[in-house]
Formats: sequence, C-alpha cells, structure tokens
Amino acid sequence: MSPAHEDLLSVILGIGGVLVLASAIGWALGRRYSPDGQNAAIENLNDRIRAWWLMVLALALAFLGGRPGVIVLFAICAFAALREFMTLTNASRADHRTLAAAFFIVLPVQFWLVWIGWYGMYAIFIPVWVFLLLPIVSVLAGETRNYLIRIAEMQWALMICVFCVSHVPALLDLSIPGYAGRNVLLIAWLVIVVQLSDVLQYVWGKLLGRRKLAPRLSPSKTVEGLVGGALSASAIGTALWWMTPFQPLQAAAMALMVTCLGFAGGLVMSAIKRDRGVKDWGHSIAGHGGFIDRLDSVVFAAPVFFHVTRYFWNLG
Amino acid sequence: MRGKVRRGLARIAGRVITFFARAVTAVQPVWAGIDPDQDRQRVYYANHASHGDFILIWAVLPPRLQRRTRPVAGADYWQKGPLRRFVGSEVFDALLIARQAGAGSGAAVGRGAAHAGATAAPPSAILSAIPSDVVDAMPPDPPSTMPPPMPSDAPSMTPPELPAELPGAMRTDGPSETAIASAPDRPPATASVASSDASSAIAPDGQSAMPPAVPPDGPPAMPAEGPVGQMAAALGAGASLIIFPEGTRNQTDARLLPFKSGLYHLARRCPQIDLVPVWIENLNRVLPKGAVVPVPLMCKVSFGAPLHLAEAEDKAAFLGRARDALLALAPQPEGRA
Repeated sequence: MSPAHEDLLSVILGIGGVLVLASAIGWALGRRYSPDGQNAAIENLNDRIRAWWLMVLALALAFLGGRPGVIVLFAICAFAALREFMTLTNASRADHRTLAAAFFIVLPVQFWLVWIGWYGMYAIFIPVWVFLLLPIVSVLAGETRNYLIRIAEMQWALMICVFCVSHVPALLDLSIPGYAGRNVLLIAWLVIVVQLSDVLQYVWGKLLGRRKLAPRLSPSKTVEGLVGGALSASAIGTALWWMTPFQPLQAAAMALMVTCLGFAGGLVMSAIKRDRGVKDWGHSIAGHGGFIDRLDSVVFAAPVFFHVTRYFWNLG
Repeated sequence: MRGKVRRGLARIAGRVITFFARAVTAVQPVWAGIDPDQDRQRVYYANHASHGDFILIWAVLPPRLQRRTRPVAGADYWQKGPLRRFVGSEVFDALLIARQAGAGSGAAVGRGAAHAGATAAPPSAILSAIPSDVVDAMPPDPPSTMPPPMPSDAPSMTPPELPAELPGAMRTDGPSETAIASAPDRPPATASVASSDASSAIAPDGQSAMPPAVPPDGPPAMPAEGPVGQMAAALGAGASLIIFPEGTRNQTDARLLPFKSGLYHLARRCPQIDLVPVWIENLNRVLPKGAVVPVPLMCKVSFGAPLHLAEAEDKAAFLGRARDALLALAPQPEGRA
C-alpha cells in the first residue's frame, strides 16, 4: 500500500469517526427533544446525518477507485445536478434536441476530456464550443419566444453543473512536484473543507446565529454562522495541510478562499431558487434537498481552486 | 414452463422500465390525498401529455398496489408487434381495449372520437379516446351498486376488433371472460351513456365519425358494451385502473383539456369506488410529442383526495369538480418566467 493510500484510509477513517460522533449527538438530541419525531429541526438534522453516511460512503469508494472512480462519481453528480437545473429553466419543446445534446453529448464529452486529461480542450469545450453550438441547435427549431432567456439558462446550467463540477476530477491532472500519486488527496481536502464549512456554518448559525446575513436569499444564513463556519473550516483545512502540496500557511489561505467561494456559491444558487419559487433543487438527498443543494459550494470553489493551484504549483 | 419464463421476463422488464423511468425523471410521489399503504381499489385519473404517463404512475405505486393496477390502453397500439404485445399486456398488464371505430363497437369508440374534436385525433398509445364512453366499473365488495357479475351464458359481447387472442383472455385470472359475461348489465348503462352524451356540451353527438343514429334508448347493446364491460370486469376482478379522462394527449398550452364523460358514468355506476386525481408534472417536457429521446428532468406525481359522485350531482357539475380536483394538484404557474 502506497503512502497516498495510507493517508487516504486515515482520512476516510477520520471522517467515519466524525460521523459516528455526529450520529451519536443526533441520536441523543433526538431522544431528549424529539422522542416522537415532533421536532422538525432535529428530525432534519438526523436525516442529514444519515444522508452524510451515504455520501461519505460514495466518496470513499470513488477515492479508493482512483481516477475512474472519481470521474464516474462526479459525472453522475453532474448528471443529477443538470437534471435539477434544467427542470427549473424555461427550456421549451423547441429546445428538446438541445437538451438531449446537453445531457447525452456535452456531459459525457466533457468528462471524457477530463478522463484523457486534455486540458486545452476541457477548459474551453463548454465556454467556447458549446457556447456557440448550443444556440445554433436551438435556433433551428425556429421558436423565438424567450429565445435569449432559454439559451442563456441552458448555458448557465451547463457551466454550473457540468463545467464547474468537472473541475473537481480535473484536479487529478495537475502534476505538482513532490506530489505525484497524491492528487486524490487534494480532491478529498477540497471536498472536506468546503463541505465542513457548510456544516459548520449551519452548526454555528444554529448555536449563535443572531444577525441574518441575507434574509431575502437564505433565511438561515447568519453573520455568526458565516464567520464561525469559515474560520473553523479554514482552521481544519490548515490542520490537514499534510494532505495537500501546500505549506500550512498556504493551506490556510487556500482554505479561506474555498470556504468564501463556497459560501458565495450557496448564496448565488439560493437566489436562483428564490427566483423560481422553490425551496430545494430536488428531493434526491433526504434532509438536504437535491444534488445542487449539496454541490453548490463545491461548484463555485472547484474551478478557482483548480486554476490557482495550477498557476502556482503545477509543473507543466 | 414457457409461461413461467415469460412471466419472469415480464417482471424483469417491468423493473428495467421503472428503473429507467426513475433515472430519467427522479420521479417523486406526493401523497396529498391518499395513503399509499392503504390497500384500496382505486381508479387513478390523470392528466395526459405523454406516452410515459402511466409508466410514471405505475413506477411510484408501492409494489403491492402496482401488481394490481392496470393502465387502460388502446389495443390497436399495444397489439402491434410482439414487443408491444409483451410490454403492454404482460409487463404492465394493460387492459387493452379496441377503439377503432368499427361495425360493432364503433358506437363507443366513434363517440369518443367525436368528442376528441371530430378531427379524429391520432390514437394515443394510452387508451385515451376510450374512457369517455367506456369507463364503467364494478367494485368487488359493495354488492349494492353492481349487478352480480354475469350470467355465464351471456351472448358474446366481445367487440369484433378484439382479436381472439386478446392477451387478457389468456390470463389465468381471466378478467376478459368476466368482461364478456358482465355485459348483461349493460343496456341500461348504455342507454344512459348514450342519452347523456347526446346532451353533452363538449361535442355534439352523431358526428360523421360514428354511425349517427344510435337511438338513445335502443342502442345495440354490443357496441358500447365491449370496452365498458372489459373495464367493469377488470374492476370486478379486483384490479385498479389508470385512465386519462381528457381523452387524448394534451398537446396544447392549456393545462388540462375538458374531460370526456366517461369518468362520470364510472362514478355513477360505482359510487363506492375511489376516483383519485393524479397530476403528473413535467413529463410532457421529458418526452414531448414526436420526441424519441427522453430528456432527463425531474417529475412529480401528486395524488389527491378520492372523489365520489355526490347525490343528485349532474354530469357537468361532477366533471367540473373532478377536473378542478385534478387542477388543484398542479403547481401554480408563476414559478417560471
């Protein structure tokens, strides 16, 4: 077993330990305050913890599966996210071909490009090629009603759900001196920091939250939650610097960057939900909502994290 | 032996189809008005915009209910070719009903076609044209409303179009024999169907599509009977049904087409049976007309509270109420731009 594998296993075991602790706390809270399931907040908390077990299991399997595992897992996430996003767009009957192409051509091609590691193409495939070709497919249907809105929404959906999500597995491509074979750990670090930031914002917000940050966008977000969550997640990211190619101080800066981006991503995606009059993007993940509800922060953090790392640490 | 293999295959095919439907639509059931754990016999009536409609309803029902819930579908579509025959009658256990206007059963079917707007809407895969005049039901337990299923020597009421090897007829639970036999209760029903249809505001009866002169009081029992009898028998045998009272797939911008009268006749014949409105959301976007490749979008299937015919409620009032109950399950339109 390589050192990278050993580190990965200890990370997974560590997360498992955290989940055991969380489940114990959730169970105790449930017994104390919601013995008959009448406390919605605690029931939701326990739903979330149970869903986390599944998500961590999926991630752990993907990480242990290496490159194929990670790419397939995030391709599935992209598919589910795109399905949720397109559902809320104005895409009409006239866009049927465009939608089919988005799901069955653009998405697989993007992840295939990541698979073969063709950076020069996967970095521009959706922003350039699809950007220009997609409106052509739609215009051929001859429906002009809401045309700009329709194509803009579909392009946004593809950027968020496919392009951005694909930048998580793209981290496997970076060749960082002295870090060979450990790129999966970089992905694990990014996901851990960003998701922990979400969780800790929720926890700090529930414990100390007073001042609402953006009541119109997301009633549950508070200043206390944001500060507490971002700082504590960054502290954990710093403590996990050994997973990354970064020095501890660099890891702290990176962690702060991705937590802030993740927070902003959550706000942006909330604004879209409010605009469309829905509470959650979907219902696939019990307690959390849809895939996008869970991915929103990663989506915003991943491409920037990828490019900053690539710019400062990548060899090639 | 072969039968066993086929049944096994049918079950697997059913799993595959529902898995595929879930993968594409992540369909979410919303039990707004019924308890899915309650094992009751029901007629699910739904909005109809796509060929996949009944599959989605079927996919969200708990397995126990699924096994005995039969979509009512057009024989002309589902008997074309061995694959469709297999899927239609063995996988979904569809209640296949002939609907080509023909010498015999033309009255029922033809009237349906006339209602559809006399434009002879192309037959949908699901039995859409039929329910208007066809729906007829017989709950098994409340004996009061239903005439006892059949003197067995009833004259053959099988509509001429129904091929002798109508798959239903081969089934061991044999609903179709019942269908045939239950015909004797027909004449009165038919009369009422005919007369109420004559007064229907939706479409004047006796359009070119049908043999015009069906006297209200003396229709040849056979015509209207075939399909009605089949459905009644299926209910009598304990099945639940899925029907689409709009009569055709809705390709318009309207959220719901006017209902055909079949639902009313059904409610009148069996006041005890639960008529459950089911709103299928978004499937028309997944698989619009003419599309072959379904696009993955999230779908919802909402089940409302069961309906029954009220005392002294007339056709228009009842159909209006049923339609409103279905529309009440639809999401408010302001969601999207």
